[in-house]
Amino acid sequence: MLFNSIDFAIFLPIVFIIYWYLNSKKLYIQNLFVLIASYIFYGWWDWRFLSLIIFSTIVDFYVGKKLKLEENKTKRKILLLTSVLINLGFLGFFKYYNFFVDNFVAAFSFFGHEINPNSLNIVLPVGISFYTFQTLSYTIDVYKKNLKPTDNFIAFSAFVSFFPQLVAGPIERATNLLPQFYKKRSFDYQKAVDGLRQILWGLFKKIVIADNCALFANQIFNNSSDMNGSALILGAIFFTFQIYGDFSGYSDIAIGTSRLFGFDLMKNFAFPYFSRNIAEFWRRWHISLSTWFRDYVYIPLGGSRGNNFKKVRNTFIIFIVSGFWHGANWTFIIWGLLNAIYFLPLLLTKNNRNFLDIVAKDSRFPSLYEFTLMFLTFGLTVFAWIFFRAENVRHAFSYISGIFSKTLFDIPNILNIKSALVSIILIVLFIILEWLGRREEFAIAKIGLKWYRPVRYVFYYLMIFAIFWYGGKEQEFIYFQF
Amino acid sequence: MKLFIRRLFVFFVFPIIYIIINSIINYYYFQNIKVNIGTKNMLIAGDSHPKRAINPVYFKNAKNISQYAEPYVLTYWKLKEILKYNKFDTLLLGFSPHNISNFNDYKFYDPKWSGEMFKRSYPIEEFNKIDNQIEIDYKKYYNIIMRQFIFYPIKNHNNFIGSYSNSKKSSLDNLKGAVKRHYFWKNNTASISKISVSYLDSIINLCGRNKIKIILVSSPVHESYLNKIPLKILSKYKSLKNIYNNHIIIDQLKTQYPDTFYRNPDHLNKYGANKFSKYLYNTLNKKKDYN
Repeated sequence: MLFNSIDFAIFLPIVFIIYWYLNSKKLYIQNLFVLIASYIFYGWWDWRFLSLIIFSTIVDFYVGKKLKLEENKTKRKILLLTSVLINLGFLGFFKYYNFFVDNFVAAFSFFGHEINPNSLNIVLPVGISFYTFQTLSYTIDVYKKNLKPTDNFIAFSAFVSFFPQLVAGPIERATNLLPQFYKKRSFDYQKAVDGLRQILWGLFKKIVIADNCALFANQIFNNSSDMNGSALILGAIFFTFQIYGDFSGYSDIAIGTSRLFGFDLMKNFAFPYFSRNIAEFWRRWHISLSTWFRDYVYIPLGGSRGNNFKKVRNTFIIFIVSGFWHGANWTFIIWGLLNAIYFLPLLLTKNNRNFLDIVAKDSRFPSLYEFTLMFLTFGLTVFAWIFFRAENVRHAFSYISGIFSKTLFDIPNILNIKSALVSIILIVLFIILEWLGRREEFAIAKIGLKWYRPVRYVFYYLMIFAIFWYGGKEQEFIYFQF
Repeated sequence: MKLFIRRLFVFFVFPIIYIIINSIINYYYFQNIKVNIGTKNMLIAGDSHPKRAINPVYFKNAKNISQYAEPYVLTYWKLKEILKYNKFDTLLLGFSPHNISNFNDYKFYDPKWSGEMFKRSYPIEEFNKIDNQIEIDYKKYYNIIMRQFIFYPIKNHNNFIGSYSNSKKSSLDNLKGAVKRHYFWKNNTASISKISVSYLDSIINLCGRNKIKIILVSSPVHESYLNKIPLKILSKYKSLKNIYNNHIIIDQLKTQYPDTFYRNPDHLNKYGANKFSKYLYNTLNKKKDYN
């Protein structure tokens, strides 16, 4: 079920009430309830795919238990490989089978040999890219002896399938989330209120910002050959905010919901569009995924140690794999490649660790230099997003060539230009709120806390009004079937 | 926990009261809907084709109530509602091949149209009579009703009265899009919409019962579009013309205007509408049984 749906609006309070009622019972009952609720949540989309997540859970639980007892290095590697192959095997089959088949056929056709393999009509299980990585983090950390394997199957299953973050992250580390299932959660008023506030902000980002931007981004990208240069730029910008609102909004709802249940998830977005260079952007965008790749792929490859060849090689591998994780299309690979090209000069000149704090941390506004850097970084990311959104590589290149045409300075020829202007105003307001809250966990974490309660309530009511006003249409999260 | 629940309750009390007050006010306005077309004796109804092609200023006492994408089902409900409080003696109804294509059967289900259709139809709908024939997205429907009732008082709930609208723009580029929309559904050639044919008949009977002269009108479309209409649908369109030949039918589908008179391949622009409206007026005046 989607977070912005009536189904979830009914599901959440029921689960919340029962969960805290069960707080007086034993811990395993509370965990069991979380597990059942999570399976209901996941099965609401398609109950058949529950078998995949259950199978993945069982395999990794027993791999963990075996790793606890096994000291032989070779046998430990085999156990780890079993978990990796099964998890990545499922992911590879469901997500990438048709991609490889189609490209295999295309390659053969190129050399004059026509073959007709069967493309399968495969439905991509919701969240498979997320929960497979989550369980892999468990087996890898157990293998590396960074984490003690658990004997508690219920706690482990609840960790794998925990519904707030099951379908679109954050990709939790077992070292962070699993121990939270070992101790009883007690109701924390402030945590619950913060959680609600974060859910509200997440819904605002998803429904008011992302879904609004999606209307125009889709109109422009789907009819890009009819659009002038200025409209195409607008389309790219709309998509830039669509994907951010969509994905970070979902993460906020996931983290906020977890807080309601006494859990702390990791931060997934830290105001990435205020980044001053691409390295900072990647420390602030989809943090759970980028740190996963850093810890489990980049560092084992040698990371940024070694000679320049290794640094370049590792950087390309990590960004291309990250791109490929997003989808089975060459556009995602090129998007990853572009980001690697952006990142490399910073790495090679040892400037990738600049700007560790948020911009203008101690001042109200950025300096002209900081603003210029933010603007340039934003421009680079907008350009890269064109590949991410385009249907295929040809579409991406034709989109880009459409931008750099003599119609670049014409009035955008989009339908409903008045509605587009309203959306732009909303984006500006959104950026202002994000800027004001940039030092916090999420933008409105502390906004209004010093106001009188009625005034603060009016602020929240306005947001809820906007959510209901712009809601009414369930636009699927971009990452829903990743 | 108790403090949390209490504060949550207090927080939601005010919006709930606001919603209840708006709902009561809107329900009152909804119950007292009275469509008033003024002293018009001619109505022009249908979808975007008559909406764009027939300018009411060229007729005596005419009002164009057409709306984009309107299926015959909705036209019928609309006319029934109008006739509760108004009288008129002539109806110009848009009648073209795409009106009987089965893409019309998805207008209360497909997200492209359903929201807008529900917004127009909720005061006058008779879904219980058609939901065994076409799919209706009831979840979306109730969502739309909720949105119409809770946000603020709406005095005028009759969103089903349209008007003439056009512009001087002209572009014949998106032929593929228009043909695909009207005659291909999910990559298959569209078939005949039984419900559209049935409700066309209902509209004609409604006019007969109320002594309204009905004139079926099809406005010119560009030949590039005309050549793409599937034969099956054209053939049914022709057979319907034969069935209703006891009524006035003004079929200008094949008449070709200059390219600059078309808004797009299947709609006239302002220049085309002026020409077509004048032609319509003159033709009707010449017909003895019209007068």
